[in-house]
Amino acid sequence: MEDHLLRVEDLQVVFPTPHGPVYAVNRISFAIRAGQIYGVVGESGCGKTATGRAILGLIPPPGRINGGRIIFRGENLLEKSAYEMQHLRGRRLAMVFQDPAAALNPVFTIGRQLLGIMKHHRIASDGRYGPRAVQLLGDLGLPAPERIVKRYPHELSGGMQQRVMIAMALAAEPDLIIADEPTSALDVTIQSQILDLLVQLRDQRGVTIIMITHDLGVVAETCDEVGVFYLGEIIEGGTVRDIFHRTRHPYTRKLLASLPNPEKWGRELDIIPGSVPTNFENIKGCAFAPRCKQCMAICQTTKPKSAVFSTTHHTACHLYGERESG
Amino acid sequence: MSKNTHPAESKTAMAADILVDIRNLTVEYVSSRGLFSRRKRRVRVLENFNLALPRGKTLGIVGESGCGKTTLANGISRFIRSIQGEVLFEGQDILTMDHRTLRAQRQKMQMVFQNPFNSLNPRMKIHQLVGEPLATHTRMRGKALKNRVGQLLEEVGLGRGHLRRYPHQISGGQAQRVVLARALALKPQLLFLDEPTSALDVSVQAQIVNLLKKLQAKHQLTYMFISHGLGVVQHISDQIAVLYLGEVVEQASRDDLFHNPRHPYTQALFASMPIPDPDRNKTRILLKGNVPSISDPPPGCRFHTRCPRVMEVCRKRVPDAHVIRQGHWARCHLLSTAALPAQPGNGDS
Amino acid sequence: MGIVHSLGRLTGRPAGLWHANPGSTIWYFRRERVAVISLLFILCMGIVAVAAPWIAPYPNEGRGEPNILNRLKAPSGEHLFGTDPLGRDVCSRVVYGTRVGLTAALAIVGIAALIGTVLGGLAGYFGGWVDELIMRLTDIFLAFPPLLLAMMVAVVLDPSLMNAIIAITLAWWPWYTRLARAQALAVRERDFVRAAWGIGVHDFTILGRHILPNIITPILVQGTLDLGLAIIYVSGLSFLGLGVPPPTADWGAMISEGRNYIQNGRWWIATFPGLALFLTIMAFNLLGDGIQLATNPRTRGESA
Repeated sequence: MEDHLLRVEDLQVVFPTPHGPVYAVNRISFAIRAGQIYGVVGESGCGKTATGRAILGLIPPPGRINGGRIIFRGENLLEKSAYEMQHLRGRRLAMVFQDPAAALNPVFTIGRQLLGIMKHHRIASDGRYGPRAVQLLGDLGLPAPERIVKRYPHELSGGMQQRVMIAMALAAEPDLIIADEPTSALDVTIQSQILDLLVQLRDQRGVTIIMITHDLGVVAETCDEVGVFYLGEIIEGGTVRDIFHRTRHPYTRKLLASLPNPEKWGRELDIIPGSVPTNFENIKGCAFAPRCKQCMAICQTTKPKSAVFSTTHHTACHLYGERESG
Repeated sequence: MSKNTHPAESKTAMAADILVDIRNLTVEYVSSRGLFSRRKRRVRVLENFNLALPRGKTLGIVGESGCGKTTLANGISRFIRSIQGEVLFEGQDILTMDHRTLRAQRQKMQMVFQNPFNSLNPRMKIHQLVGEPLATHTRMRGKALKNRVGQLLEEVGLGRGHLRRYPHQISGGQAQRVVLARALALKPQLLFLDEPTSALDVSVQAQIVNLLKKLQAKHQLTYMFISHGLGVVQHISDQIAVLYLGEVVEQASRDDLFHNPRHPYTQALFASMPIPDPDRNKTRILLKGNVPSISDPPPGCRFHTRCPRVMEVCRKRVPDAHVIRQGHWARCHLLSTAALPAQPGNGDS
Repeated sequence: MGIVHSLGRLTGRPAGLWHANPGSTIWYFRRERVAVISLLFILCMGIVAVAAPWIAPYPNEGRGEPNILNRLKAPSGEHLFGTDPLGRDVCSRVVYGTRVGLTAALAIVGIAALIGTVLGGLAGYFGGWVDELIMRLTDIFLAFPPLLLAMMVAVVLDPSLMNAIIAITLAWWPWYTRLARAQALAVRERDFVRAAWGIGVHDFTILGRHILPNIITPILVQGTLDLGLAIIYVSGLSFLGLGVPPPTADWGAMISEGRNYIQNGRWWIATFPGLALFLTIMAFNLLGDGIQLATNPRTRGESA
């Protein structure tokens, strides 16, 4: 019953540090169907970037994947060799990074970079690459794409650079794109253009996207399903309406409550006391316990098991005990 | 057409108590073209810029990159040189002060920057950082100094345990609190906050915003709050000015701007803001094209190249500032055509 | 350890210098084994230099006293490295040679870095005519190849250790000035300097409190890398007869003396000082490499 394009099971990513091992991703599991946009949302240190990179096999040493499975199109990516992963990247899996200026090579023209990807993955016959590149750039909303291919990255604006990055991610027609904070470095008017573009890609080309972001507004606008991350764990997961309208986990609730909102003008914003802890070992109890107003004794000693509310909606919190869907 | 007509000037200046009055400020910086050229290019970031900061209130400045908001802050605090104009702080022009008076004046206006770790000398301990302004301007030393530093830290929500730490040992939110404590040390009247929460986590942003409001109430501070985060700006501001390419295109009270934005750019900004509610249907206003360079602004109305409601006149003439109601005005030709009776061939949309 | 602790405070480290904060540069340095070994070697050299009179088997000969009867003896139990044309024990001479080499290296780098930091800091921070003046001055000195400049100065002055140091320092200070200036320019733009201006701190206080501590690290790193080079310069000058005069022991001078005897089969006169020179410079270079690896965020922790 492999109707999931990507299924992550029990993934654990560790970074050894002088203070001890840091479990950036601590046994998470989620699944994505083809043609969906899945949101990975959380604050700094929650493990969202590490998750994205783990899927692509780009965890920098000395960090390493400590356990779990990443099933992509029926195969476990963690069992693949470096060579095989090299071929999958770009062709089947692609990434769009946060800062386009940093991710594009400044000494090559746009065209050269795009062509490089296409040729490497041999997705068309020679001679067809040029027109394909121009077509792709045009599809992504870049004006005068035949001139853009001759330009260098620094000659383009931030929004255009990001479109180029998305073009490069799409160049080899991958099944899955991981977008790591794709709009955080952009102005809000450009951001909405890029987000629209990504949604269009899902609608028109059936591209599956993992949207990694800290911005709940972005999640609400683009995602179908969401995983809320905290300290390397998914503390709540569900459809976007589950998360926003039927919120269960205290952290998610507080996070939504702390966002500025016209209805709250004149009042204090709801806050989560303290801040995200920076160093941690394998925590025994619930990761959010130290900051949770509804913390109970059991929260500090045992990790909460998943409580299921529907086929899509689940959360890990002792407030709900262990429930099956009902 | 002269852009010196500022509709709010005569009315608001007399009505409200203005702490800082910026008049006809023109700031340019000189950049050299390319690697081998000798010719320097003068870029006018702000030209005949006018703005008034009412005492004890928060003026929010909203704009995207390249709109000149940082140049504004730098020009006011004289970190860069202005060509002309005045910045009247309680009636005295800051721009023409001599260095001595300026030093004293600086105590009354403090800046808070975006990245707290950049704003704190990594080689100094927290208590030294917060104590520096006191050591520079007062005679406090030793125990008295330390006590005052402790007080300031408490006021921003940090404990005495932080005194001996270095900036890299504390979190972003805590570091920004240290910055605030230091800014408050000299009992300023005005705080420039340049994207103070943009580098912080969402949950920490809320803490800092609450703290800022509390401090403002307690010390009667005036804030100039610059940000591209509309949600935060709206929460904290009393008045908001929208900047585009070095010009204020619309200014209104927070509520007026939210309920009745009249300038197409403001409308587009609001429409672009991602709302954390999947069911809110947003009518997208997509702006065409890219932001023009501030060094080479389009003729006529600067926004015309991207405006979804552009008219012929917009390409040629700079729009006047039209008053919509008391305290709310916008620079847009659409507002004048609305006042004119419809005539054939007016090119109205 | 008090000194070490104070040094640690100077560079901004809360813990002591060697028992460094995990994750700090020094902590990463400790993991570069080759560099640590080199550091130990250099420290041993330092001890040898200080304790020369007690370590050297024939201290008087080390200082230069001839013993003609013993001349040109091959290495043996009595004279580990043999004797030189004047009958002096080569081993003792090599031991005393460390004094010259290390003293000179530290003095040259120390003084050049000091001058450079001050001038470069002033130039970078103030800009304007101060910058112009200092930069033109450095340009004048930089117009000459450093070794040539050092030689020219040394020729004019009487041969002595002090003058050799002066000569080389004169050739080297502009490099440090450039480095410090570039650093100061960068640090000046940082927000915390703006904040200090905003508070109304005086310029010179800003220089000392904000600029200087934040430009010092790259200069220290460069200085450490240059120590080996300084020894080469001193030995080179002595080799040419421009540096330390006889009878003071200096490796370069000893090599110069010994090369004429190699053809006659008396290899030990030049070889042992040469070996000492080689090992010391090698140690400094490897130490420098280790520092570079430890300070570069990309390469740190890779060999561990």
